[in-house]
Amino acid sequence: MYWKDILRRSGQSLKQAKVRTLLTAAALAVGGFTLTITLAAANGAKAYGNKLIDTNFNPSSLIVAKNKHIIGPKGSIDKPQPYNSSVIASGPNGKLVRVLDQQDLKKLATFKGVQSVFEPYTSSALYITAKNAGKYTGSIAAFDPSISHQFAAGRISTRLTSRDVVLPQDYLSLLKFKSASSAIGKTITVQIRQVLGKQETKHFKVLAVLTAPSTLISGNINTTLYVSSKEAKSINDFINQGTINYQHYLTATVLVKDGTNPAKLLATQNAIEHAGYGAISAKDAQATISQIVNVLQIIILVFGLITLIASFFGVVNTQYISVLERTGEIGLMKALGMSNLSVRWLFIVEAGWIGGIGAIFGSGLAVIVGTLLNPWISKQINFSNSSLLIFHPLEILALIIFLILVATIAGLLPARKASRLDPIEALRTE
Amino acid sequence: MIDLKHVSKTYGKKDSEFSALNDLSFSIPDNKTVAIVGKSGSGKSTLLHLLGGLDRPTEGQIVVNDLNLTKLTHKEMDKYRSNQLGFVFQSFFVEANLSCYENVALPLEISKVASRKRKEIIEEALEKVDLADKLKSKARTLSGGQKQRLAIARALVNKPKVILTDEPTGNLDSVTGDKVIELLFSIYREQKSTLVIVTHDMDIAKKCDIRIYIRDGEIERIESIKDKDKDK
Repeated sequence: MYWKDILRRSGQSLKQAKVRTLLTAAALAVGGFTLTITLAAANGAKAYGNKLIDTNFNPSSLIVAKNKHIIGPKGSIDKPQPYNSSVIASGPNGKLVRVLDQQDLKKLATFKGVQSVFEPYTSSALYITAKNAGKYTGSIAAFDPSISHQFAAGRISTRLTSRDVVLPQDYLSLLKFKSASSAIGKTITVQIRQVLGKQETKHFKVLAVLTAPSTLISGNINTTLYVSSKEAKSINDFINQGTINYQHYLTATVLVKDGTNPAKLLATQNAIEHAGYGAISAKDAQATISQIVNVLQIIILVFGLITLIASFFGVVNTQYISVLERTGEIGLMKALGMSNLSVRWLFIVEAGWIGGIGAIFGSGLAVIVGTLLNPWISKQINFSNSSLLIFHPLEILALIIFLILVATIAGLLPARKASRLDPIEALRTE
Repeated sequence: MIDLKHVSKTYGKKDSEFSALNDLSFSIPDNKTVAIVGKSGSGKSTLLHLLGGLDRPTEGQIVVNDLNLTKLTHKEMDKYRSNQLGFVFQSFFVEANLSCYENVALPLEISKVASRKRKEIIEEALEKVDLADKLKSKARTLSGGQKQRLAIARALVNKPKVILTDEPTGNLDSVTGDKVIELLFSIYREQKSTLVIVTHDMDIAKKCDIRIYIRDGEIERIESIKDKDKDK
């Protein structure tokens, strides 16, 4: 028999038992739906992670910390140890961490390949205000020109002076500015306070207005005002003076010369790590995010596969019933000269058809439902402008082929039974 | 030419051995009508299955059109059935949910006739059994007689050299049965093939050139056309 005839005949057989076919295919469709959504969610999460790194990390830079392990449980110190000025309490739970000091920053600048060392000097302001406006919370940090920013108004051609500030867009209406462009050149006031209560007032002129990045590495970027590095350090030193945090920093950003060249970036990273520091590149951060996403993906995929196993036995059962119901037909086909192999293929292909219908229906439904609900879901989980679900056509095609293969394998045993039927016995059934 | 030499068929193992056919030998020349007559359980259907290559004899040799069936491989036997034989069964075995066209197309698909050639052949076959107007009708909509005519169309579509029929009128009323027998005989004459009919209906058997009477797995007697003429 020609393949096209086997394909057509097996399809016709399925049409004769529509309800049974559809119900069996529906079980496979559930698996197809789950797997398609899982793959799309993993794609979305990875893409979000990559975007997150791209918009917040300079690919030529390294994030350096005193500890070898910046991320993970080994990043903090869990046991009491002799006093060391570089060990301080940090974080909301007061965990002990080793921190960088001024000497570390100077030392980092001496490593081969290091172009510059950048410390954001992030501090909390007492409040931020402007003329005729109320007082609002906010933080101050040094502007990092190596990260690409998007501006609603204004631009930064050279370095910031000590009077310049880059204002996040969210402050515009709060500080009574009509628009981003109207805020340029206007004065804002930043009030800072030491632990012991001494306060200082700083005045800045708005140089540029920053639009909210589509992806945020931390939740407070929309509330951070950027000033020059020198001014940020001055504010940080003023606030932390007399405390253990004075001139101590959790991380610093090291910009590597020609760091877009992976070999050069890695050489500098190795040198810094060899000296006892911890250093991660944007690529490392991406790998860490991918690893987390992969683990979550595997967990959900396991559930999808369990559904598939159930569907597998559904197909086996359906095909066995089909063989029993069509014993006479099988006998006739054999009497007319159809080979055992052709009979076998007829039933294998039939199972494949069920797989194909289930896979296309499940994956198709996942794409339709996913596409329709994507904006709402992404908004609910605060994915900003990014999509949680990203469907790759080739990936879906591969999944459909996989599901067809699963159903085809499920059809092997019933097909074997059909091919081994004695034609005389089969013809007696009618 | 169909030639049987000392053909026996036994079923079961030593303790429960059952002899369905015992030492059958006869020859049927080409272009003859043959009735295999006997009571139920006499072994006539077993003989038909052996002639049709659906089963193999335990002993002896069957040669059909110079093909020694006892020596054919599975693949060769499939080819023999698809190219040289046409089967008509008592139970029709038509696919109720398929059209008449699709039912008749099955043997052509099995013997790998090119799809572009099929339409004409199928239409011709349906024309012969007077079902040309039912080309696209589902087989389930046909009457019993029409279903058997459809089965005949399916059997003759490959222009077989031998047509094997097993109680072709068993499920039909006498009027319809007569029409089906007339149809089988007219096709036999037109295609110049050998027609073998397994039956216990003597009226049908009397129309055949050769009558082989089987009883308890053995040939009771063989009547040829000369004897048949005597009966008239």
